[in-house]
Amino acid sequence: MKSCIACGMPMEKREDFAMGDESKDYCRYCARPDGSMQDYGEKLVSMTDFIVRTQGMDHGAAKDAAREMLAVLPAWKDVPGRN
Amino acid sequence: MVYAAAAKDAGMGIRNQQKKATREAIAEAAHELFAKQGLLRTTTAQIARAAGLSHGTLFVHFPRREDLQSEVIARVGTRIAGAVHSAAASRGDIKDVLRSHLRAIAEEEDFYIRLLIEAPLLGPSARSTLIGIQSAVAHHFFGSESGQPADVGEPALLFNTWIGLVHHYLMNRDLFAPGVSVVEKWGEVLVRHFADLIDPARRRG
Repeated sequence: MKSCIACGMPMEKREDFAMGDESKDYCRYCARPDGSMQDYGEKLVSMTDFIVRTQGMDHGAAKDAAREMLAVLPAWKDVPGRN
Repeated sequence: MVYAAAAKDAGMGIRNQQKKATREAIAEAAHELFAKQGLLRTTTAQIARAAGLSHGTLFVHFPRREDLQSEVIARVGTRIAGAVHSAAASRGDIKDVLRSHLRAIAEEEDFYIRLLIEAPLLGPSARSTLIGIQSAVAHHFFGSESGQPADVGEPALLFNTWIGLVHHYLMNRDLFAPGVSVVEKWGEVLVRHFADLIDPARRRG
């Protein structure tokens, strides 16, 4: 099974993929409205916001955790200055 | 020349496979020992012995003990988060989402409890892995169609009420379910209790 290269979510059904396109390596949540993949900065912001909203953590702590989570994902392995 | 290059490639392929297999054996042995006796208490010497390797070989693959801990933690985290997604993707009600969460934990209950208890003392990867698992649960918790917890105040507080409840039972397994699985013994009770707590009909009454 494929996992999203940008957030790690497993993609099982067609609608999990960006634009419902199973040849894509990233999921619908990591796609911009035009279908292209969000960049590192956008993903870091959205992941941090999601953690703050759903788990109530301090913004700085949530951002650190999001950075850690993104660091192990294939899409961001070579992002310069990611930490 | 061509043959020599092909033979060299084949040699590299085998070496890479062996390298991967050794890494796998180390991670497997570490996973088992971490679950049984804790991450902080397990030494690299014990892991090497369990994997049938020399201490030196282990260090070639994982130069620092933290590297090995992070690798195993990340693997388990991916497995649990993946199991939550797969089980919850069928989009039942909130009870189904909570059950999916517990079932995913149950598959790694010993390791998960160690991780919970030791996380503040381990590196940032332990913390972020737990938060990542929780994000996977939250994704379905707030996304389950018929179970959308509406009008119950701050979303994060509601979610943390569930996480806090589950973690309290897990971290005190010796008090709630000595010698057996917490999820087996208490899972369904916790799911029903939480679902009742947020049931709008009950809250109005």
